[in-house]
Amino acid sequence: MRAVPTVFVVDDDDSVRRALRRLIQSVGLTVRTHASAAEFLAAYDANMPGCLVLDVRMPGLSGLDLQASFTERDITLPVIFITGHGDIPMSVRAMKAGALDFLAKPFNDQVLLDAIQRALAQDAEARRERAERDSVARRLESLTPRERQVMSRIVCGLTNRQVAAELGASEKTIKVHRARVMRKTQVNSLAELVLLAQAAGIRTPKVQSTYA
Amino acid sequence: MVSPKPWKADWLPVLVAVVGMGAVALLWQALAGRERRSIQLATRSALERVHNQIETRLAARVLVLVRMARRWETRGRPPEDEWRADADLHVAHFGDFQRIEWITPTLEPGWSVPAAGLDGDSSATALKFPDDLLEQLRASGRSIAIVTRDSTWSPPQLEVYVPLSDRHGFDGFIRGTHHLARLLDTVLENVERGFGAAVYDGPQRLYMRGGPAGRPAAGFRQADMLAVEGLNWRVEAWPSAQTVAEHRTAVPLLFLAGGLVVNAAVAVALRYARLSRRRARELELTNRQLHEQIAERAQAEERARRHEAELAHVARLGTMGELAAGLAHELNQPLCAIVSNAQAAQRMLRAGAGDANAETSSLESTAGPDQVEEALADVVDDGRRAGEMIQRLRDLLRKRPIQLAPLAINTVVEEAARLIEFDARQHSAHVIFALQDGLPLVSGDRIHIQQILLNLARNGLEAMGTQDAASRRLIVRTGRDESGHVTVSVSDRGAGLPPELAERIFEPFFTTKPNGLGVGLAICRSIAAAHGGRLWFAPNPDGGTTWRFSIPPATTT
Repeated sequence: MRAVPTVFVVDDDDSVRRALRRLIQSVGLTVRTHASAAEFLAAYDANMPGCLVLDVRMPGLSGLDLQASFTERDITLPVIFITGHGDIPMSVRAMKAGALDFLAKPFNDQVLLDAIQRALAQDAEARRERAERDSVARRLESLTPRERQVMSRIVCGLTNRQVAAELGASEKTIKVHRARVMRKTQVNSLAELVLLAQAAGIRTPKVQSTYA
Repeated sequence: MVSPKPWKADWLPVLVAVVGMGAVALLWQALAGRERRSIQLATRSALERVHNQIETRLAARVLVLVRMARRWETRGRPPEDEWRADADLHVAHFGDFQRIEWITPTLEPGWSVPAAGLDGDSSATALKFPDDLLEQLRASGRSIAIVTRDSTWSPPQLEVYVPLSDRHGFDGFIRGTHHLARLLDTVLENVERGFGAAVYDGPQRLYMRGGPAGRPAAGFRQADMLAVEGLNWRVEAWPSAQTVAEHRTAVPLLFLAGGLVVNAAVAVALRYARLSRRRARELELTNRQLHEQIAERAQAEERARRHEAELAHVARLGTMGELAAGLAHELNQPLCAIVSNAQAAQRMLRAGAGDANAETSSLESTAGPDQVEEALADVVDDGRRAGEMIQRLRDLLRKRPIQLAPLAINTVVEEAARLIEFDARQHSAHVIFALQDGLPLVSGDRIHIQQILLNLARNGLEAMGTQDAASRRLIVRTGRDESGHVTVSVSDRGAGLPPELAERIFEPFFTTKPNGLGVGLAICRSIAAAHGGRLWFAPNPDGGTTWRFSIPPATTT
């Protein structure tokens, strides 16, 4: 199911593309090369893992333009910029926009390969985190609003009675909600639920202090 | 040019005219004076003749009476009849004798021939002896007296008194009375044709003939005193108008007129000669200035040509300077490929050497001599590419005059294509080359044509600087126009040229770019012209501008 991480190379220079393909393949990585940003966008799917080795200056959409368009296209691919005319303002801009690295041509193969490895690792990590976050979100989404109210209070450390008092319901009803929450979120303990809530970014600390 | 001078007083012709006029006037006066003198001379001689004739005639009349008186003296008082006969002879002989008389010693009328009374009453009065005559004779000591007698009732008369004496002493006078006008008429009638004459006794005019002196003649009137035996006459003579006219010729006047005309002609000719000489001098000066200007212009043109060549070089340097800065980076492209290929090859070789690791990847399993060979081939290609880029840049930077040679335009464009593509990348633009096949060779200079092309491409790319990156597209085409010239066009999709810029775009040092020198297009146009072609532009129907230059085909077959 999981796709092979791919190193995408976008450079308008044919011979540079060929050389990079050869170099990257020599360390056993999968490479796809594209001659322009547009060609890359046409072929790329956000689910494809890997990293992007991107030339800054190209006809049409430049590398920086392409990178800038990632946010709206929901592409999280780490970007390693390569350029024949790296100047400081350009590299600053690229790094601020989230580039992983900025390499001046010609570069040492090891530097590029290291950067690629780092990028791939970062991408893998990011994808893993995102997958996790996605599953948490999916689980939380299955809760009803009432169940979510109950859960947010439980993970803050409130007892069933306190929750019942706060929500104006019986303690027994809260217990039922609580069990349903535990089942829907597929956790076995309160500790797990707290971790999950944290991962989902549910924050409840202030309420707790009122009843401490 | 020398502006025509304002009229300058030219004094020499005026001076010549004045002096000439003076000389002509003097000569004229001399000629006229000579004529005047000849008239005067003629008048004088006429006067002398009149004078002499009068004197001679008077003397003759007096002599007649003196002879009669001598005879009276020697023979005593003659008998009356004898005397009368003698007197009668004289009266008959001289037509002007009115009468001859004897006046007695008591001063009473004695005898008279013709006889007294025959002449009428008037003669009686005429016989009156002048009262003061004796006193006059006594005072002057002369023996003979001549008096004139004039009165309103008788013509002027001349009386000659000769005293008589015999043995007894004073015996009266013999008086001869003459009709004065008749006497003088006979004197002058044959003598002075063409002259007028007059005789005056004091203020009284006794006689005049020839009419009064007319206007031209009055100036020539001459007078002389005539003194005979107590007679004091003034004789005048003057030429008649006809005489004056005869002496007066047209010569002085003709001379005057001719002289003045000649003089004026001389002055005018002198003026024109001087004018034309001055004009010739001015012309010469103008000519010299013109020659200097021509020489100067030739020098200036030569300088301009040199400057243009230098400017072309500078412009090329300007364009190339920008290109070179980028090209140094652009060289990184092949260098990057070279390094990466070489290192990939190293890795492959290492992997091939350590056969134990051969199972790492399915892709890598194909890494063998072939792959290494390919990588190295790419290294060689890229190395060459880098070298070519540097060579092209050096060609463009070199300063050199235009050298025409037969060229295939597409090859020229393709050679420049790398630089244009590179430049396009700098501007994030696409370049499309649409090169027509089968174009004739052109006569041109490769480097200069490439300079035009690069310049136009650069302008086009800069014109699209504000466009959306995706639509920046530059199209380079080759083709032919109607006249058979080969054309190269560069179309951009920029905003186009505003009309007010379009007029000035070819002016040297006109630029819209903040760092532009403003000589690019001017030089491009002059390069195109030096090839016998031209450079122009037109807006595209769908926006942007198409720049086009034409080059005539090579004539050699």
